[in-house]
Amino acid sequence: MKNLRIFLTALLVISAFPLAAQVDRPELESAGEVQFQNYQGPHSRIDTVEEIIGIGTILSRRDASGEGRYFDKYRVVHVYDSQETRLFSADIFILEPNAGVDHIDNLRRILSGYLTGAYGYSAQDAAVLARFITYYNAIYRGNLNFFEGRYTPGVLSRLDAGRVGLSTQWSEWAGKTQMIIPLSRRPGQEESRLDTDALTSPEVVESLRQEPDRGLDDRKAITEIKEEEIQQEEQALAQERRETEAREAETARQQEEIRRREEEVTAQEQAAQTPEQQTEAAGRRAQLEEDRAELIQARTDLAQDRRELARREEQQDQRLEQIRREREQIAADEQGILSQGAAPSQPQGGTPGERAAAPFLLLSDQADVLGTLVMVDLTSGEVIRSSGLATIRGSSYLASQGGYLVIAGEESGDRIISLVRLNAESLQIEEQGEVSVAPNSRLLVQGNDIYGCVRYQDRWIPGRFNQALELTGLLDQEMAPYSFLSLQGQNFLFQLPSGSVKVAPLSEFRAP
Amino acid sequence: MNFPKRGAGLFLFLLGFPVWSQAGSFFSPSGARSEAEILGLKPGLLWQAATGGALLGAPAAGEDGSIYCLSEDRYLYALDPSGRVKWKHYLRTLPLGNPSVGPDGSVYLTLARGELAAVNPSGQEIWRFDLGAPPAPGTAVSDEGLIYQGAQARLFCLDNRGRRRWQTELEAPLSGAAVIVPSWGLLCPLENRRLAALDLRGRRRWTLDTEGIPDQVLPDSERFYYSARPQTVAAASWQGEILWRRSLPRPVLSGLLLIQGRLWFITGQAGAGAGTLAAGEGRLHVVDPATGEDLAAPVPLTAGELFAGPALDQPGGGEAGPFCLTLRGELFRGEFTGGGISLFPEGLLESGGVSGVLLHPGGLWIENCRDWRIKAFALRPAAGPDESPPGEAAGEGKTGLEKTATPRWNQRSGGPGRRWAGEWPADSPRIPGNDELVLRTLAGTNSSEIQLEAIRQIRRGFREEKYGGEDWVLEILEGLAGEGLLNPRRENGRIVNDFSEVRRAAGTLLGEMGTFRSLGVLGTVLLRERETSVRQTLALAAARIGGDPGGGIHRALNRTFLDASLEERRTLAAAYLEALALFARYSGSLNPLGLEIISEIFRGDYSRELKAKALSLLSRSGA
Repeated sequence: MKNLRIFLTALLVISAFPLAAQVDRPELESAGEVQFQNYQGPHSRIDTVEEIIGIGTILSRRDASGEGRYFDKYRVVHVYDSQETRLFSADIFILEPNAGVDHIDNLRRILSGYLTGAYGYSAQDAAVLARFITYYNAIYRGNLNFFEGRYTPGVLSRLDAGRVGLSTQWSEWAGKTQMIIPLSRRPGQEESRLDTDALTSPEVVESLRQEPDRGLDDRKAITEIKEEEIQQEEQALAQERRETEAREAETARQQEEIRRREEEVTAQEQAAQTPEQQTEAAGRRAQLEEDRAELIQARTDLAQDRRELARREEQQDQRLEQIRREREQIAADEQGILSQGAAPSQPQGGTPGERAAAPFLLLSDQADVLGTLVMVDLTSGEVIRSSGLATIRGSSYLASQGGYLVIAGEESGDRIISLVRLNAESLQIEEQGEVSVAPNSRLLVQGNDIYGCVRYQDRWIPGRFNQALELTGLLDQEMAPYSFLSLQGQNFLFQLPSGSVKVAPLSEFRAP
Repeated sequence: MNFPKRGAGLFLFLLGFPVWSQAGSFFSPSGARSEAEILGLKPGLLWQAATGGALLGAPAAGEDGSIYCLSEDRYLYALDPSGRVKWKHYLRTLPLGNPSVGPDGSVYLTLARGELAAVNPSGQEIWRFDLGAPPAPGTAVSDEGLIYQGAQARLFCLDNRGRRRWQTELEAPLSGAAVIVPSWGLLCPLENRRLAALDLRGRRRWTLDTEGIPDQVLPDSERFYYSARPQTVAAASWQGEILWRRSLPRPVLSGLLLIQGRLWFITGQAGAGAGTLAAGEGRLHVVDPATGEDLAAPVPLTAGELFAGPALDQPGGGEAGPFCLTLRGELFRGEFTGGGISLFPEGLLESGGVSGVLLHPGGLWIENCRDWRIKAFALRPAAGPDESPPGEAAGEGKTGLEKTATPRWNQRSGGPGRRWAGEWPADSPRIPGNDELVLRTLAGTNSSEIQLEAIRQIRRGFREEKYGGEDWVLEILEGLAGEGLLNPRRENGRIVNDFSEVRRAAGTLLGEMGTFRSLGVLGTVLLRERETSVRQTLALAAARIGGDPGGGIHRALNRTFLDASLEERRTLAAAYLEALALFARYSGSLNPLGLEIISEIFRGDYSRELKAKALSLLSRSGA
């Protein structure tokens, strides 16, 4: 029954919108909830929100060839065919291999900056559209078949099956992403506009409906944007209708005028006796024919404009019908949630305090072993809660200051491997260091101090951190990054790269 | 819990919030400090209904408790008081403003494309009228079912059938809703800083300079009040003379309210966000309506959300009813009651805001929210919903709020476009015009010929839009429709004015010109009429008026049909079926008394054609 409803909805939408046609049922059924996996871990440099949005703004300043660039990291190619009415044009948003973005929120911020700069959307609307662009591209990731038949050859020629769309894994973004921003011709004008209908394809909507809250906020937000477009087009159509009617009235008046002049000229021609009179009549006849030709041309233009107006009105009707159905589906989904009398479903399980639970480090079965800290029900072994941090190094964690201390992160772009403290309840990041720590470094906690192996001027040396994970001391002696660490009284013991053990007084630690 | 009454001052009931500590002298003009009482009233969210778009304007309520809301999804929604969607009607064009409910339950609304639409109580659209320009805010509906709607600088009067009675050009576009003053006329605030008073035919009575753009008008028995942007409040007589005028230090942000003979309003500066009040600027004023002077120092209000724009907004105006405001950072819903003011801390700011509110007679507070939901709150004791369901007559457990008189708010209009329900203003006796004198003379003769001539003249005047729904025209026609039956004149024991042809002609014209007020006469005549053919005419005439508020015509039809002989019934059947079909078209359903007639025709010894027609009506009614 549910599948049938989905299918019928899709069918209705497809029938109302030719460009969205050719969606087959298995494709629709396969649409699942889109969940992006972001990098969670330390960064050597954190950009402000404004700086991130600014990247998009810079990208929106396209050059004459239609390209916008941000260093060698991001690029947008504007591929627009103003003569095309059936197929979509597109802005192809490319994440180059050096792109540093590793969180979907930041990618959306860049996109919203771009949309604001390139198409004049408000920050709020741009944020909504950016979310839909990421859903759209995640759903059709690598699906060149989907884009063929919907986009112009100019767009398709630039797409690459291995890169088109957006992966849900951040690690597959840089160098492997060509996001498509569908464009169509702005009604009645030459310029392009973002096609919001394309972004809300049945698969995208169905994917949102899989979310616990049925994606209501996003669906409502984009519907409001569409409504604004519809109202603008309604006003434009009403204005053009009035202008067309005025032109019709004017051509009718001119036609009547020509009919009257025809009679006069004919009478004059018949009455003309002298050559002068005949010349004058001929002159008037020529002028009349010229005016008649102009009138015919004006009427032809008018007829064409009326046809165009009728076509746009029909499109508008179809769009109105489509949005009515979308609104009805939103209302039905929301009413369903309200009828259940409860908020959207919550994650299973209570807090560790409510159930006997213990932390456990789940490791990935890969060469570069990465871990995720989870909370496990001691009775059933069920994972109650999972940390978003999936790059824990060294197969270990330390309980410290009411949280869990780990080494985590990746060495690429602005990302670094450093100390991270996770909240003992939520397992979410509480603190993170800004100094690179050896991925397999041992950690030693003594009072408020944390000792480990840090990178300093391209050497691994002993480092000391406070509980805020700030570097407070360095020992100027290279060490083996995998060294065991020990404190004996006021002496710090560690292994040198040569294999020998070094005993250094704590007093030798110097401020960085 | 009883509503406490202490002295002559207004009492304030709060949930333990010392909000009014500065206002003691204000609430007790004698100088005695008023007391804050804890009533324990709390609004509980009863239900929410999802729509497909942001709700627009304020909801409206029908006599049967139905709640009508307009949404950006271009639907008109009708809900029952339990929050169930009874029906929704797709308008296709974006609606504007608030729906208004007529006396027969029809819902009137305006559309962005410059149209006025009518939807019957069953959700079927019955007509649409092209206003030719964007509609002015607010649709006013009179008890007679006449609809007044502005569109730029034009004011239209339509009847409940969507037929234009008249239209008049105003000096400038309407800046607010026209206000109906029964039997007197209309007050129209205009963009050109003037207020125009019209008679019920749309003719100018007088015009008043308002020293600002008038935006709201509140009629009272001796005078009326208005506020004008940016910051004027004034009172004027019914002759159009200013009685007092105040230039306030801050703009009026709220509605004007009359509570216990005092005029209430809020002034302030709007804050940065929509519907917010700038810090330290809000003041609640209570004013002597006779002089315009503050009865006490205005009460400072705290900055914050004003909640749906006006901080003190009461749908429909009047002496009691709901409002909302923010005090000391707390958002309150409140109600003016017979004894004072009750406040209900909301504690929950609607994320997207509220476009309008309605105090429902069933004890519900209905909110049109911008988050696409209609929300209903129960105004009830904090003890909980199980103790006193909304709308249920409370006994011992009655709260002060529930004990108050039914608020005099305007059910015909969910906000602007209000119709005044108070006493009529004192006006100088009306001097009849020449037409009236002539027509009354003609109608008062004992000659059917002359009376028929009077009817012809009225018909001509109506077709030429010389006459609209003037009371005196309808009076003449109603008199003639009952000629000989309601005003028998006897000579030598014989009734000399029993002119069935006059009754027929007047009844027919009443069917065209009449309003709901004419139904009373038509029903009475129908019951007394002896001639079957005149009954047929009168039944159809009544049905053409388009509605039957109160059901009087249906009672008359039922009685005159079922009590008649079979032969008479056979004669009446076709006309009665047609009349019932017409009524059903306007109301969207068949009245049970009408159903009885149709069933009789379907079951009885009538022609095949009549039975088929009866069956068709029965099927449409779902019977």
